[in-house]
Formats: sequence, C-alpha cells, structure tokens
Amino acid sequence: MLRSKGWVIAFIAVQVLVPLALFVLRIAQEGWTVTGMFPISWQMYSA
Amino acid sequence: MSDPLRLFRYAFALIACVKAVDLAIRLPDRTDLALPLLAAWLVGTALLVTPRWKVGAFIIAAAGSAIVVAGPLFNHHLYLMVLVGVILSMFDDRWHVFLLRAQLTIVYAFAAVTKINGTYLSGDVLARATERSVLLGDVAIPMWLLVIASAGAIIVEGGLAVALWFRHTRLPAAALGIAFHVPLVLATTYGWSGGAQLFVYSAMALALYLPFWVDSDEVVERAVGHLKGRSLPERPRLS
Repeated sequence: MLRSKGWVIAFIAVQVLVPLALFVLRIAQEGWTVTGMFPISWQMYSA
Repeated sequence: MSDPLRLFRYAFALIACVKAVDLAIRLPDRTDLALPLLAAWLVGTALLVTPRWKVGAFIIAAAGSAIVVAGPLFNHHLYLMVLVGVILSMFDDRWHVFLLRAQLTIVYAFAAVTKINGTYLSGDVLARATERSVLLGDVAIPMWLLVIASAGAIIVEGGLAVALWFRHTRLPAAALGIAFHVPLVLATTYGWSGGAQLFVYSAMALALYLPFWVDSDEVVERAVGHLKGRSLPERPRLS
C-alpha cells in the first residue's frame, strides 16, 4: 500500500510530465497544428 | 469510506460493465488472450461492489494494462480506468479523494490543452464527428456554430479542471459538466462501439465529480498538510 507523499507526488508528476514532454517533442517535430498529436493524452475524439 | 466514494466505486463498476461489452466485441479480433482478459475484467468489475473492492480495482488495473499490451487496444478512457484502478488498489485510503480529484483535473487540463490547435479550432474535428453521428448525421450544422462549439469545449474543459475544486463554483461546474458531456455523447455517437467509448469517457469524467463532494475543505487541507509534512488527526471511517 502506497502511503507516503513521495508516491503521490511521483504518481501525479509522471502523469503530467511524461505526456507533456512527449507533447513538446511532437510539437517541435511537427508544429502546433496537428490534431491527435498527443501520444498519451485524453482526447475524447481519438478513442 | 464515505458515501460519495462508495457511490463512485459503484459507478466505476457500472462503467466497467459497459466497457466489458465493448471489449467483448473488439478484443477477440486482436488477441488469443481475449477470453482470459475479459474474464479477469469481469471478475474485477464484480469485486468492485463487494468488501473486496480493492482487489477488484487491482484486477481492473492489471487486466486493463494487459489489454493495452496484448490487444494492443489503447483507448484514453481505458488508460483512465487503469489509473483509477491503481489509485483505489495501491494507494492508502487517505489519498483516494485527493488523487481521484487530481486525476480528473489532469484529464480535463490535457483535454483542453490538446485541443488548442488550428485543426480543432477550425471546427473540422467536430464537423467530422457530427457527420457520422447517428443523431446529427443528416443535419446540416453551420460551420460557425461548430467553431463556437469547439472553442466552447476548450473553455469548458479548462474551466472544469479548476472550478470543481472550490466550494462556491462546484455545483455550477458540475451542472456545466453534465450539460457538456451528455449532449457530447448524444451528438457524436456513431454506432455501438463509438458510442460506448464516448459514453465510457464521459461517464468516467462525471463519476469523478463524486470525490469532490467528500468533506471538501478538509480533503484539501489534509492533502496540503501531508504534502508539507503535517498531519491532521485521522477522521473516523464509515466503512
């Protein structure tokens, strides 16, 4: 059972920072125009 | 566990049932492991409404992860269900409310940010979604309306990411969220599979409103206290 605040911070940080890093990387490669560019994200229309 | 969290768990189980039907249709074409994975998913779903709900949440998380890998069948809402399973099964009870709230904020924030691009704001994405819609497929929707709806979706999702955290804005935000998700599913559903997936996303989002009704201010105070290294006295647990 994960109890410490470190695990909580890590859990949230991974969810925020990893997609954000991939997002920025993709934008750097393709520009800020393409829909569906988010590799691990929450776009409701790309289900 | 307080009542809103119990309700959330039941809602999660119900949504997992709908997802099970979707998986039963799509998974057999993708992997030989469809049957055991589906069986595990259903066992986890059933356990969610029992005192062994943590085991159920763990099985949902494990089966969902395996479906993503073995399928491979990745859906954003499936990923969300896996994460909720992880929160409920692997984190201590005192973190559940805070983490579930944070999860919804992350979902809405990324949903809003990823839509801020020319393609989405032009209305093309909504146009494609409504063109194949069961309800609106034959309706000619003016492009200007789709542009406004696209911008509105970004504003609504971005606003919901924040507004649910505050007591004074929580109820209007919840009403806005319902008014946003229900028409979204109705307007863009394009058959069983697409409809089920849109339903699961929206239903998960709406179910995640429930943790915002658990002793709201105490949850924030307690989480901030924990993060700063201070602890409030444990409150009695209802179950």
